[in-house]
Amino acid sequence: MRPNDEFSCANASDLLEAYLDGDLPPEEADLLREHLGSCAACAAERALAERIQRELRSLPQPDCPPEVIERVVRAGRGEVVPFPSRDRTSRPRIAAAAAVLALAVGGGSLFVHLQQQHLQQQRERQVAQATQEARFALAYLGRATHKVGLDVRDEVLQKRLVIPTARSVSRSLSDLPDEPRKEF
Amino acid sequence: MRKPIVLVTILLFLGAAGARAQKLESQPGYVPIEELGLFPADKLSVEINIDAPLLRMVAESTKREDPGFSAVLAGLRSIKVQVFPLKGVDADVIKTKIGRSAHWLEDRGWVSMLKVRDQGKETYIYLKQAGDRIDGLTLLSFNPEEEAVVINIVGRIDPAQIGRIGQSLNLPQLKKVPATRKPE
Amino acid sequence: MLTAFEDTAHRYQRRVYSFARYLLSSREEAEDVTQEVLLRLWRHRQGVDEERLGSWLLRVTRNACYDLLRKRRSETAAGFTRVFDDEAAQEVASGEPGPQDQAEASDFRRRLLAALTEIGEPYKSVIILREVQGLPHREIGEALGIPEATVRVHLHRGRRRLRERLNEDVHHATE
Repeated sequence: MRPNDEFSCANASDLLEAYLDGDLPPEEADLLREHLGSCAACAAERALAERIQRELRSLPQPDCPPEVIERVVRAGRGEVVPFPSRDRTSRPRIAAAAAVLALAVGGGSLFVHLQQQHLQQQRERQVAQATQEARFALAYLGRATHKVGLDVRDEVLQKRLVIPTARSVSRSLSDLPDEPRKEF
Repeated sequence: MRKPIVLVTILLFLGAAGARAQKLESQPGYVPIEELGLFPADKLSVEINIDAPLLRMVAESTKREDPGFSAVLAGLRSIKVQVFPLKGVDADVIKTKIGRSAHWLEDRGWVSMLKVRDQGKETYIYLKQAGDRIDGLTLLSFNPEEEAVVINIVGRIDPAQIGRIGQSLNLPQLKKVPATRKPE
Repeated sequence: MLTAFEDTAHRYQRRVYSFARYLLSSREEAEDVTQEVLLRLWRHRQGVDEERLGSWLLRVTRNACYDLLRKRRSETAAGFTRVFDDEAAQEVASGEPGPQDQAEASDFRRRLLAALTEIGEPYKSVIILREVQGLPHREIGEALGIPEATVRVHLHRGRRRLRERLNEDVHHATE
């Protein structure tokens, strides 16, 4: 339905949200208002858009359970604070952070002693993961330089696309060592 | 098809050893990848963030089995990687962002070490130099049929050494390190 | 010093927690994120500018939520979107079964919340911060690292996506 040739329903849909927020220039707002007055479908869209906004604005903002804040504050005081165990790997990380926090503020307490073993295992996992990731990063770099190093070296040297210092560096990057590739 | 695997390693706890390290953001080789806004954060297939304390631990733990790799890591402050798969995505937008990021680096005194354009694929490697010293390395890579990648490495860098080690590694499929010991 | 921190924690807990609740659709995870964010606030309390504290907390909360979602995705390979868990839905939906219009209102809210989990970023964050929390555009821009004008654009597009999702819902229901 196009009651107004200059203003289509697609236009109206595009501009509705800005219109509701008062962000449309006056001329466009007038055109849209006129269209909404004579197009039932778009008027229904407007009603839906308004309802969505109303509903969003009435959504509750729940408070954090006080025990969560209490735990952080008590950890800050260096107290022994048991953290709830969950069956997800992110939990130990948070408990570990709090344990270090307790250490840092001079907690030096039973809590830290009890968590020592747990922290150690968690640290080993993190190091193993980071080792894999560091290898990935260097291997990617190696692959990128290996692919381009040999192909482009001569061209690069001829055209002097790379400045002297970097040129000598790029040359050494593409020198393949006589080492077996490592598997892991 | 490679199953997308996302891993994030974030160092939550500060070194309780009390190292008053300089802020990473103020290091000359640091690139604020998030601020460059290259890729949507929630669509990365790989994201790696390893900070100095964890890099030191990795260096320590790999000293015996892989001294070359350990030596490279020992001098580093940070490794950041983002991989963004380009299938089903408007690759031109990403290509433009990669180009802009290269200019961003150049505007801030990064020196181009490699620039390759080959059948639609692009690879840039930049170094942050201070005299003879190299404080940072950044790779930007774009392959419209596969993925776009950014890598930023901060610290004491010897590109020849990094290249040698990197080229000796196979690119691993990153997999989650299991929480429990595997049976022998 | 601790008293000042306690005051700050109590002052901002609702903003942090409710933001995490709507981003994560899980009460348990929102509690964990809030705990993590407040711990970080404790560690960085000297370094955070008082005037920027609100937006700093929101930024840290959002990053922590998405770190958790990425981790969850890698562990379950179940995809990024998630429906509100039943408990969470009960807490924020208008609750009691009753007269017809109350049930319908409750259903609309449930569908709206489901659509909110689906629309993706940055729309989701902008809508939660603007429409649910009522924060000014400037503060949202600071929290998300985008200009104020972009906040408005994202807000409009996000609400439009919600409208489109709810319209799709109706079409599917009547098929």
